[in-house]
Amino acid sequence: MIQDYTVEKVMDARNSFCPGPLMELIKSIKKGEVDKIYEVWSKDGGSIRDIPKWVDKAKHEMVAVIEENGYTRFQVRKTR
Amino acid sequence: MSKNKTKVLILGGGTGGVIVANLLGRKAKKQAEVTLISNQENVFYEADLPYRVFDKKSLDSQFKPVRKVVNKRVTVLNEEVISLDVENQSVSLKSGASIPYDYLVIATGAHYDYDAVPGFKESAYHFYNEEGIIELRKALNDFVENGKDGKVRNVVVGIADLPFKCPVAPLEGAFMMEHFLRRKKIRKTTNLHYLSPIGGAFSIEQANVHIEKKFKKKNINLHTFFNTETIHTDRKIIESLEGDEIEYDLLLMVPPHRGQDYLNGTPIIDESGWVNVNIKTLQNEDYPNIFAIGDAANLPVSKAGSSAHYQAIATAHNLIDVVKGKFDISQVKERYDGHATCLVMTSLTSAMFFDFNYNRAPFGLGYISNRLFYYFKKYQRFLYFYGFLSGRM
Ligand SMILES: Cc1cc2nc3c(=O)[nH]c(=O)nc-3n(C[C@H](O)[C@H](O)[C@H](O)COP(=O)(O)OP(=O)(O)OC[C@H]3O[C@@H](n4cnc5c(N)ncnc54)[C@H](O)[C@@H]3O)c2cc1C
Repeated sequence: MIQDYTVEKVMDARNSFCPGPLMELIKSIKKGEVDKIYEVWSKDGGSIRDIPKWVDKAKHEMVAVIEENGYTRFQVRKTR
Repeated sequence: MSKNKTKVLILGGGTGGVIVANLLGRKAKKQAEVTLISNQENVFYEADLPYRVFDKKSLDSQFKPVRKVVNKRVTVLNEEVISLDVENQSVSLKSGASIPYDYLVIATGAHYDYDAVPGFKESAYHFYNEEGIIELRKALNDFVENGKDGKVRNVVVGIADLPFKCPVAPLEGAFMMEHFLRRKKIRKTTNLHYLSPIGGAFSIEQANVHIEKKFKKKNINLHTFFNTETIHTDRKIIESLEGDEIEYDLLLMVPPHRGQDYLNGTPIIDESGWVNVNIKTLQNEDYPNIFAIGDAANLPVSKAGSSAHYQAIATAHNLIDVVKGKFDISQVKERYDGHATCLVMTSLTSAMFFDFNYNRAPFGLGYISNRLFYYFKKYQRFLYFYGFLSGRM
C-alpha cells in the first residue's frame, strides 16, 4: 500500500495486552501535535474493538486499520 | 564474607524484594552474598487498604519490620538508593556509600506523583497510603453528616492515570462505597459514578462482564473511556481527555503512579520510569544481569502483590540456578507466565476471586461473589506475612 502521508510516531505494543496498546496510543496523542498521525501495533483482539471506539469517542480520526500477519496497525490523526 | 561469593543485590524491601531475598538466602547460601536495601523499615501489606477506609481499624497490623521477615543470612540495609550505575554495576546510597553487584534485582515499586494531574492534590481523596486513608475517612464522615439534609450529591470514583497498582482496587472502592452509603442510609440521595479510562470497567473481557452486571444491579453509573485530564477544584468538575465532564461532591481517585526517581537517566526505563524487562524472564535485554519485578517493572500484567510474588519466585529460581552454575545468565528460563490472582471485594461482606495469566482468563467459579472469598480476603494478611513472604508458598 502506498501512503501519501507520514506517520509521526509508531508504537509497537505487540508484547502488550488490552488495554496496553490503547494506552500507548492515548499517551502519544496526549503529548502529540494536532494534525500529526500516530500509529500503534497490537496483537490483542480487544484492541480491534476498543481502539476505533476510543478514536470515535475522543473525536480523532482513524486514518487506516491495516491487517498484517498476526497483528494490526492502527493509524490515528490527532484532530484537536 | 567470602570474596568469591556472587554478589546479589536486591533493591526494595516490599513484597517482591523480600521473597527473592528469602529464597536466595535459603537456597544459595554457599554461592551468593545477598544484600537487600530498602528505605522503609517495614514491609507493608496493602491489599486491605480499601477496606480500612470503611472499618476504620488501625493500620498497625498492616506492616512488619523487614529485618524480621527476611532470612538472617541476608544483609539488610535500611538506606535510600539515590542512583544506579548500570555500566559499573553499583548503586549509590543517600548515606554516601556505594554498593557493587554482580546481579541486581529491582523491586522498588512505584511512587505517587500527585502533581501529574492538575487539581489532584487540591481535590481528590484516595486510599493508596496511610495519609490518604486518614484524610478520606474525615471527608467521608463529613459527607455522611451533610447527607442528612436529604440533598442529592455525587460520589465519583476514578483513576488519575494508567498504569496503577491493583487494577481492582478502585472497583472495590466503588462497591464498598455503595454498601457503606446504604448502611448510612444516604444511598438514595447519592449518585455513584465510576470513571474508567478503558472501554469497560475492567480490562479482562470475561471478568468485565460480571463486574458490569454488578454495577448495573447496584446502580453504579459507569463512564468508559474517561481519561482524567484536569480536576477543576473551583467548579468541582473532572474533565477528561475525551472531552467529557462530571460533577463531584466527593472525589475518590487513584493517584498517578510513576517509577522511582533514582532510575531516571538510566538506559533501562521507559518514559514513565518503569524498568524494561522481557515479559517471561523478567530480565533487562541490554543488561542481562539486571532483573525487575513487581510494580517497578514494565510488564503487561497487573501491578499487584500476587504478580510480584510469582515474579519474585521466578527470578529467584533463575538466579539460584545461575549462581550455582547450572546455566549462564544469558540462558535464564522463561519462568514467569503472567500469573496474577486477586480477591475483589464486591461489597463490605462479599468478594470474587480472579486467577489469570498471559494466556488464560480467570476461572468461572471465581465470578460468583460470596462470603467465603470475603473471609479469604479478610484473613489473607496472615498468609502474606507468615507464608507468601517466605517464598515457600
Ligand atoms: C489500595 C491498594 C490495594 C491493593 N490491593 C491488592 C490486592 O488486593 N491484591 C494484590 O495482589 N495486590 C494489591 N495491591 C498491590 C500490592 O500491594 C503491590 O502491587 C505490591 O506491594 C508490589 O510489590 P513490590 O515489591 O513491587 O513493591 P512494594 O511492595 O511497594 O515495595 C517497594 C519497596 O521499595 C522501597 N523503595 C522504593 N524506592 C526506594 C529507594 N530509592 N531506595 C530504597 N528502597 C526503595 C519502598 O519503600 C518499598 O519498601 C494493592 C495496592 C494498594 C495501594
